[in-house]
Amino acid sequence: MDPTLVVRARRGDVQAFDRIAALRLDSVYRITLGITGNAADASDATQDAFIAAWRGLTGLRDPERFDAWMTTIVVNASRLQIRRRNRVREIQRAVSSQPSHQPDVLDHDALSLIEGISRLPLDQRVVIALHHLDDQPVEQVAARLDIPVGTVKSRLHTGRAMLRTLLDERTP
Amino acid sequence: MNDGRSGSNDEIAPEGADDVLSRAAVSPIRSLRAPRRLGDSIGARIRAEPQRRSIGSAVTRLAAVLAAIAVLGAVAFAVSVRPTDRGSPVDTTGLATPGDSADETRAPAPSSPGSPQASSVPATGAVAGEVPSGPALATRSVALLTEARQGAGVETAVPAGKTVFVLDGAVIEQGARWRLVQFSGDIDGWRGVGWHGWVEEGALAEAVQPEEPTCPDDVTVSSLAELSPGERLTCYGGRSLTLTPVITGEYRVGASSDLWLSDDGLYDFLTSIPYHTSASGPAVPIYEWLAITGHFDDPGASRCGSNASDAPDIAALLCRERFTVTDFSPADPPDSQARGTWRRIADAPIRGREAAEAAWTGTEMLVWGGWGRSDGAAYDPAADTWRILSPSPLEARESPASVWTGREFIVWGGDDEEGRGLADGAAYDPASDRWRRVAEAPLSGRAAAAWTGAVMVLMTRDLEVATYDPMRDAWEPLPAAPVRRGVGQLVWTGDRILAIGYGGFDGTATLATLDLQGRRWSVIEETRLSAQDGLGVWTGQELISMTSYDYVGDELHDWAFDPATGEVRRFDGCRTTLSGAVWTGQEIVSGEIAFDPTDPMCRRLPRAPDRTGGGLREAPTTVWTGTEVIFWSGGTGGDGQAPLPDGVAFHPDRP
Repeated sequence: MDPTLVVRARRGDVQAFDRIAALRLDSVYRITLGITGNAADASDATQDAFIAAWRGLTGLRDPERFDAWMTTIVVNASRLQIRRRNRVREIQRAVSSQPSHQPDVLDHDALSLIEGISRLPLDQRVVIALHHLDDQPVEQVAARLDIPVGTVKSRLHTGRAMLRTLLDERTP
Repeated sequence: MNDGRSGSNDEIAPEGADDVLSRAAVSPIRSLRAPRRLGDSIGARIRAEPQRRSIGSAVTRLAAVLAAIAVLGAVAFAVSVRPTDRGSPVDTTGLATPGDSADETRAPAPSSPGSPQASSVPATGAVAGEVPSGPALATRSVALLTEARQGAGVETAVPAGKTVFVLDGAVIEQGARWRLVQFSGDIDGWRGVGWHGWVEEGALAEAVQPEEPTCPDDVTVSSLAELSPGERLTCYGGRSLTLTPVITGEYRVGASSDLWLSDDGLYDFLTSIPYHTSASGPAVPIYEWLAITGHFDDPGASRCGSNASDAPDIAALLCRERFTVTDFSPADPPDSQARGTWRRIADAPIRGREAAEAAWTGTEMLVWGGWGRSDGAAYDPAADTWRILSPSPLEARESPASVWTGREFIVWGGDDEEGRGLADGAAYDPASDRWRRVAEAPLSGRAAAAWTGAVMVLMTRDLEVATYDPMRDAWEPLPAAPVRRGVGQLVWTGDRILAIGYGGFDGTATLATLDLQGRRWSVIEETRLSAQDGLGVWTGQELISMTSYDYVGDELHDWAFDPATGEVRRFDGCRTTLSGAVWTGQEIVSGEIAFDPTDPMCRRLPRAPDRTGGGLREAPTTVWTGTEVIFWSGGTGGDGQAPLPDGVAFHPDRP
């Protein structure tokens, strides 16, 4: 991310933040989709992440660290959305069965994949979303989550194995 | 966030042609774009936020006010060293009365030594008001000058409907009266310190209606944390309060974190309040349970860990919001804490690792394997010493099954680094320090294992089942398990095998029993027992299944099955990570919690010895020795380190 844009946004320049949001919107959405597992939650988490970033930008000391900082916000926003969703669903179930909301541009296999990822433990979901869906190298994922590279690899490995089992089970 | 500098992942994340996350499989998702309306919505929400814009871009209606505020920025600083210009009182008597505490007829606050700004902010309660949202005032906001000292003149507009707390003033300058105000900055449940700034009293009176906050009678960390900083000042002012029991220092968010005072000045949402010890106050010990006495709104407040860039009056206000400790004494831990003691154990002579297999022999903890490792060691807790195991004939593997037979430590199966199932195994005899290969098995891959006293029973993720008799070095296939395919668990009850097949897409799990003599399976229950994966332990009476917090699914049920009655009962477990949890014969203990299923109550362990991650690591090696739980190595999580070869042991106090 261009540090100049970040500095301008930090000073309150809405247009600069618009530009940042435009540059990162798709990436953030893919990550939140991978972690939350459905489009409605991904949209909410994406919005929350950008709002939180806007509110918190004054606390970002080093503009060069924007992407790492934003990754943390995106992951946290997704986790909060999952917790919020679980609470909401408790109420919704008593009222009516909620249909799932998935991106209508994805084919069946991709939707199954998203749903499968959403069934994994959260830690595995996060590294898979960052590495496989957002194309971040393992070392970058490790740095941004502040965990060892070996931990990222083991989570990826275990997550893939579990995902394979889940998808195999779903195949008739 | 992909910053556009990342290269190909292929060389660091090898993918097989059939990998579920191959580039071809994820390509549609990688090219997915966010709905355009989402970008529009974010833009609209940003613009509805209190703006951090420059004065030059302020709305016309507020231009005159902002200009005056820009002048006041400098004036207020001057005022800060001329306390007589500030008419505010010191209210040391306790609760401030909403509506009368920001009166310029009161006396100025005393200064703290060496703090020229201290006198600028009187210690007092506050007046709360809400910017009305009715038609007449719906478009009006309160303009705050929030960064005047930096010369930028940044302005914040408090939106209609927000509660505003008048915390200081009035300052008379430039023919106008100014108030220091704050509005609560709640963000999705996070209690921020809010926005602070100076506002012209006339504009404030025009837009704000007084409102009295609800002040809880039961003053606890939890009830205080529920209040915004402005509410705390309004409700309690400088009144002396005693909080007990509380713990200071870093404490993980969780069941008992409402007993935590934060010493880093940061709020944890709804679970802690920050405290401060003045230079003349007592040094508060950390990680000990205490009864703490102190107050908010300290008269000497000037700076307590605020940013250097904060204006003096804002820094002093942030300091007033913190709980200033004046006294403390030791207190008994709360019921929510497990009783027991920790000790460090000697570092191992092998490298640290995650997900190693382990067994307790009666005198030693045997450790073998783990992610990328094929070596092992044995730890003797009586002598606090380690020895290295002789080299095993097995390659490194992920998640092998293992059992302790009373004579041998059998390790079998698992996946190689490419995720291919392995079908070999070996048995280690600690008496001779030798390994032997076991006979070729009729199954392969990851498996759950249980030891019956005579044979090892295995159930793979593909539900193949077999027994291995170490005396005869022979395998015997059994009928496939009628449980959900995937992650499974086996336990031996003394007369039968119980198998759990944890869920699939629909979150169901199956519980079944195996009659080894009759070679017959019976399904006990197939229902929404728990999500995905869990910890299954046999207590001697019940099979307990607990779901790890991380498994956030639609259905989260912890449950217990009593074979004697055939009943499945559900209960609320700990909702926390169960990585490395073991059954001690009385409780399930992880590096963080102890859970007694007969109580049932989830208790937090005392703080572990100074060690990265404390007692809690990712996939540590854990055994119960009969008197203590040993936690060795495991992922260190947040510090970027490779797993360390260190360990701790927790000795629970038994009634």
